[in-house]
Amino acid sequence: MTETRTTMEALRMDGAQLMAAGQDLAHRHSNAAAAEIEVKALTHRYAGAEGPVLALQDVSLSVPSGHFVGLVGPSGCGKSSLLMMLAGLVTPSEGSISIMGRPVLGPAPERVGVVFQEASLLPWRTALDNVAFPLKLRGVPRAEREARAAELLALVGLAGFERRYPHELSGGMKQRVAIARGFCQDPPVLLMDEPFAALDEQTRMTLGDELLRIWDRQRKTVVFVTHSLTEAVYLCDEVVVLSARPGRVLERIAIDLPRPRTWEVMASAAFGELRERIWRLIRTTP
Amino acid sequence: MRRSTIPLLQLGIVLAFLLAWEGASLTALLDPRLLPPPSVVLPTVWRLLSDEVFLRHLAVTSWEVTVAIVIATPLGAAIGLALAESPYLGRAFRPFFHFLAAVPKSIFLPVFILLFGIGFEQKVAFGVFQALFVIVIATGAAVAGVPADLLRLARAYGASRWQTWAEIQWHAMLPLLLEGLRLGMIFNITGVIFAEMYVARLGLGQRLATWGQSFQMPELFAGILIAAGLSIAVNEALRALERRMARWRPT
Amino acid sequence: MSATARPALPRLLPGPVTLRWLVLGLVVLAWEAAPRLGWVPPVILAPPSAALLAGIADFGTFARALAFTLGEIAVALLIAYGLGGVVGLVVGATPLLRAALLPLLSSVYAVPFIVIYPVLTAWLGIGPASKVWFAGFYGFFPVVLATAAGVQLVDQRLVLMARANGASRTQMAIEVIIPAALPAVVSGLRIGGALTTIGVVVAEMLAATDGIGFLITQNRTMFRTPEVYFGILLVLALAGTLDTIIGRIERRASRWRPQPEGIGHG
Repeated sequence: MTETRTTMEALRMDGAQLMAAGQDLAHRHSNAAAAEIEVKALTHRYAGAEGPVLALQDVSLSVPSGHFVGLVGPSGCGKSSLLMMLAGLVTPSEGSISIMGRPVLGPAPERVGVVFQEASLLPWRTALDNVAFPLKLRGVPRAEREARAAELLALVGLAGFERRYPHELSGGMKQRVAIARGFCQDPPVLLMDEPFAALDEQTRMTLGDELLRIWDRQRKTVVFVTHSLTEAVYLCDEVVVLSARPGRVLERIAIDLPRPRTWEVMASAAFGELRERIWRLIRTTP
Repeated sequence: MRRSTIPLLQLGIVLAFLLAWEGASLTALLDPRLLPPPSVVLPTVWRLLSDEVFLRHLAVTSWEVTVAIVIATPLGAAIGLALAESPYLGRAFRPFFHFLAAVPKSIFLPVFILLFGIGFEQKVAFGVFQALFVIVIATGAAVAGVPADLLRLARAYGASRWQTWAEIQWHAMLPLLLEGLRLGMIFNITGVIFAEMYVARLGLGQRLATWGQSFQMPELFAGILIAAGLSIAVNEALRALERRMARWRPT
Repeated sequence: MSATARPALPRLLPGPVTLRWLVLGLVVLAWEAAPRLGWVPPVILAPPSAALLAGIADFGTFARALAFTLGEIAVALLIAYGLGGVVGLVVGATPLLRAALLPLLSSVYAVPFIVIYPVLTAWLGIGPASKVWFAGFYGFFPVVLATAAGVQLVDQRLVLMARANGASRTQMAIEVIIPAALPAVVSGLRIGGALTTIGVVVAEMLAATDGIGFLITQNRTMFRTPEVYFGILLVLALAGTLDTIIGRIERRASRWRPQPEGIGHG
């Protein structure tokens, strides 16, 4: 049914956009069978200050390969926890997660890249070294990893800033370095935990466009946690809405807006409707 | 559960230490003549505290320390304030005080002996010398630490000089001033006792040095415990005062 | 920090930096002149020129004593840095130990450490051993406190990020924990180094057979005042040099940190 709507949309667009939409469709079709990320009956409890807290309840999800999926919900709904579990940094109390067919038992940096909210750059290393950090941990020789890191810094628009230290970079620049680092091992899956939350609105929008531009080249599977519904609708193919704690999947809303996403798209009625729909869902569901 | 375990753990550490001490002494792991066990040292503490002669020594030291801090505190505060209030004097002389604060001042003791002899005045002067600089610097830091936006607020509401001082500066400065006082006291006590150990006729330090030289170990250990107890008591009292006066601060 | 505007200073007064050097110059001048002019008995205050001359004349004695002291300092630093570093690491990495021990240690800080010295001389005699152990432990405490603080304050987000990138335990220690803790540890080494140095000298002053502190005391009892002053200057130079060296290392270790605006000079 999603494909039908998309095809209808395609018919209303002009030639150039048709091409892009076609590519979009073809990509999804080819990988529709293999779900890149599979979450089954995930439940998570942790010990809080006043006793055990049920963070997530029976969350099930499958993310097809190459999709850009957003994860939204009220504060405390467990979206970041869910992401940490996808990253292999937290073990869920119950349920299972598998990525690319393999169960998640711990961090798997070649398959899953993570970008955190605070850039988490090593302050004593240059931007170049920070991007190359995962490769260094893998034992990749210096020349090779520095070349790759330089390439990635250019990709995120920071060519010339290789030798700068984090304290010399603005918030937006630091986050770009973090994104470059996330891409450095070219993982098929990228997890992003509110990466733009600490930035001002204009920087958010610029970086959002940049991210889409990069993603468009290599169509990784992205799970993007955000507080901003605008951001979710703008960036994603699909938005998963979680309820308040304990987090359950309320609904998976397909975002059928045309790519590339532009100002016009954001100003369109369809955009507003989608955002409104998500907001109502969050607001009215206990 | 966590919050009550910590004092218990600390008590446990202290008790374990005492038990180990007692055990080491009794099982002759360490010669009990060189390391008398708590069971000998603690009664000696009691004996000393009831001995008139010792109490006189203790009184001398206490008096030296008190006079020294009573001189050093207003003097140091006055200098610190002067340096803070006058950018001219501050720029000129603050580096002096920072430098002298960092220099190991104990090395100057022979100079004080040459200047003042070996009596009461020398100990007091040396104590003042030890405490003065940290108080000057703490006062400077206290003045600088008054939030500029609060001063601006006072000006906006037309507060007088006195009101600004009493309502804003005094309260903002107090925690750092008290910390300076506490540190000054530590340096003061350390200086006085060192001076007494070096050369003196009376005083707690003198007693410790004498007992050490004549291998009167129970008395020496008892004296150390008394010195430690008093220093810690004074420090904790000042720290409690500091905490009370700084209750409004975020920890 | 006055809120009222200040009138401009009259041009007649010298600039603050000039004033500083002027006063310093006057002090040195007075120090030189007062004993020579008989205002102060020379046995109390030796002129700097006399002190320096005495030092040059007696150079061999001073050099030997200094070398002896430096040897004691070196060994004491091994204890302070080595033992302090290890204990600090363990305490810093163990939250329960940290919470229990650190308040105890900061209470003990109030006790004048010198009172331990007579015990050490009774046990170990008045030779180098008592100095080394005394000064070693004197410097031990700030090293422990600073190392524990450094380890404790490692940004946990960096640890999480390294884990997400598959860092092993060794890699975590080398790439994240040690660099993050280093500035705090080095500042602890600086304070510890200063305390160890002065600890050795002070102990030598009280009871010793050799060393610069012993020499100062000896000269004092013989009223050789210029030699006393020279000895003191020598110790100040020693402490200053050591501190400068460690300060350089500290600056090197903190190069990646955002530098605060100059708050004035030390």
